[in-house]
Amino acid sequence: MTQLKVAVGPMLFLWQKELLEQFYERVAQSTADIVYLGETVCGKRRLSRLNDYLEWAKMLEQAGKEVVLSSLALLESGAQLQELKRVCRQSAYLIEANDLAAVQQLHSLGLPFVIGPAINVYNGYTLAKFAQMGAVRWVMPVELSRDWLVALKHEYAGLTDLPMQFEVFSYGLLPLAYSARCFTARHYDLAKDQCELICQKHPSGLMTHSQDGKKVFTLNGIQTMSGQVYNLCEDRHALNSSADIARLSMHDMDDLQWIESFALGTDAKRPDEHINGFWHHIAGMHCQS
Amino acid sequence: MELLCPAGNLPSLKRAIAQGADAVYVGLNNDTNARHFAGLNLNERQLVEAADYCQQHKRKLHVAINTFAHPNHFTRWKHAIDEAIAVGVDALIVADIAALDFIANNYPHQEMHVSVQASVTNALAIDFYKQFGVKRVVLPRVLSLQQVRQLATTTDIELELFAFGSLCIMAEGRCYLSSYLTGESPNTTGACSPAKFVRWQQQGARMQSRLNDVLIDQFTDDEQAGYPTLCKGRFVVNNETYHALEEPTSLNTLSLLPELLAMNIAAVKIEGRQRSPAYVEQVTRVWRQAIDHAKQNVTDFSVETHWQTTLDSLSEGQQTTLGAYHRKWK
Repeated sequence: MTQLKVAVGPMLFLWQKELLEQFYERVAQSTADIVYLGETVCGKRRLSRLNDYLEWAKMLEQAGKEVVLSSLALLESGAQLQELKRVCRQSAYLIEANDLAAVQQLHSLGLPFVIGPAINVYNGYTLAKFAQMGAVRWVMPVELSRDWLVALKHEYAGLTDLPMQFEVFSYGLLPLAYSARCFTARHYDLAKDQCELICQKHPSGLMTHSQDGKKVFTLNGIQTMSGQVYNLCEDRHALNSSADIARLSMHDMDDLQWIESFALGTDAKRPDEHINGFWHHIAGMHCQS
Repeated sequence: MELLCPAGNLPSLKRAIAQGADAVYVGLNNDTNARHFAGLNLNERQLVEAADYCQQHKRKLHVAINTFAHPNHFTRWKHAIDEAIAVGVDALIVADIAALDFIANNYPHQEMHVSVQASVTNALAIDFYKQFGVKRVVLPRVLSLQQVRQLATTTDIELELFAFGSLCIMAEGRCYLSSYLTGESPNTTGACSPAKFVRWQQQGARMQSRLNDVLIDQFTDDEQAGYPTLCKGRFVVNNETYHALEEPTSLNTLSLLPELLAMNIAAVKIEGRQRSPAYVEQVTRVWRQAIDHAKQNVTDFSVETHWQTTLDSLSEGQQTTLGAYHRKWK
C-alpha cells in the first residue's frame, strides 16, 4: 500500500483574484501533493484568467507541487470550445477533462489527461476505453461508493494493463449538478446574460434550506452542490487501501487545515454536521461511522 | 422531421402509432433504462410484439438502454442489447461508453443514438462519439435555440430535441441530486426522486411532500400538490421561500416548430414513458397535427389555441415553458 496523496481540487466558487492568489500561496506552503487550477463551473467567470492560473502554476511547481489544469464541465458555445482548446495547448501540464470535448481534444493532440468527476465513468470497460485514449488518472463521480470503486478497479484490471491512478473526492461541498440556468442570478432576479458575476458575493455558495430548516443544497451559479460538507477523514484507512489520491475541495481558507489530516493520517474527527453517505453506498446526505 | 413518442407499455405504443407517431421509444423492464419504475416498460415477449407491431405499421422502434453498466454486471446490459437487436429494433438509445463500444464492435450495422443521459452539448463532444459510428445525438435540455442552431450548422450527425414533457433542468446524466437525497439516481438505478421514498403527510392546514424525509414542498388546500421531484420544490434562500431551482412546469416547444424544421432537426421527442396511454394519445395527436401544419405553412405557422389548451391541461402544474431554448429562462 502506498501513501495516500492529497490533491487540492479546482476552486469551484468565484473568488476575487487577490483572494485566490492568497489561497494558492497558502496551498504552496501546505503539504498537499497535487493542485488543480482553473475554472470548471461557469464560462462567464473571468476574474482570474488562464495567464493568472499559469503564474500560480509556476509558483506551486516551485513549491514542489504537481500542477494539473482543470477545464470547464458544461461547454455550450463555440467561444467556450476555443477557450478549452487554449487550455489543452498547455502541454507542460497534465489537463483534467470534465467534458468529453476535452477528452476528444486531448486525445487528438496525443496528450495524457485526467478524467474529472463530471465525466460518466461507471465501469471498468469505460475506463479502459479512456485509458486507451490517454487517460492516466480517474476521479470517481461523487455519487459512487468505496464498494463501487473496488469492483470497478477489479474489472479494469481484467481488461487492460495500462496504468491508472484513482482519485476520490474526499472533502468539501459536493458538486451535484450543472444546469443551463444560473440559480444565483435567479435568486437576485438577474438574467444570466446580465448576471454581473453576482456569484462572487457568495464565495462559499448560497445556502438553501428546506421549509423546516434543514440544509438541503448549496447554490453556486449554474452548479447545485450539497448542503453539507462531505468529509471522509474518518474513512481515511479505507480510502488509503482503495485509492491513490484524496481530493479536497475548499470553500473557505480555513478548510486548508484538512490537508494535514488527510496527508498525515492524524485521527481527525468528522464534525457532527459533516456527511459521508456516498462512500458508504447510502444517501449522500447521510453519514455512517 | 420524425415525431418520436414515448411508450411505457403496449397500449401506449399502439395509441401513439394510431395518432401518427413516426417512431416510438421504449425500455426494457429492468435497470438498463432511465425510466426504471415499477409496472413500467416491456418484458421480452412484449418487446417482440412491439417490434412486430411497428413493422406492420411501418413505424420505427427505438429502445433506450441508457443507464450506465455497474462494474462486474455488464452482462445485464449486453443481454438487453442482444435482445433488442435480435427482435430487429430500428435504433438503440445508448449513454454508456462501454455499451456503445460493445455495439460498435459486435453489431457494426446497428443504428445507434447517443442518449440525452450522455450529456452531449457541443461539437467536440459529438466528434468523440463518431468513433462508435453513431447516427444521432439527443441533446440535453440545457442549450438555447441559438446554440442548437450553431450545432446544427457545424455537425453532420443527426440532432434530436426534446419537444414536450417534463422539464429536466440539469444537464442530464450529470445530476446526482437524487442520489444525494435517496441513494438512487438516474445513472445508478434508472430513476430520479424514486416513488418509494415519497411520503405525503397532512400537517395542520398543509399537505407536506417529502422525499426520504426531506421536506420538498407544502401545499395549502387551494394549491395543487405536485409530485416531490426534488428540483421542483420550494426551498428557503436568504429568508425567501420560492422554487429555488425550477417551478413545476413542462417543456413545450410547439411555437418553435418552423425554426426546428428550418434547422433540419432529425426528430422531436415527446417525454413521458411513465405517463398513461391516454396522455400519449392526446399529446401525439396535437404534435402530429402541428408538425403537418408547420410543414405546409412554414411562413405563417401559428400555434392553434386548442393545441395549447390540450397540452397545458396535460402539463405539470398546468403550465409550460420554452425552457433553455429561450435565453431568458436561463
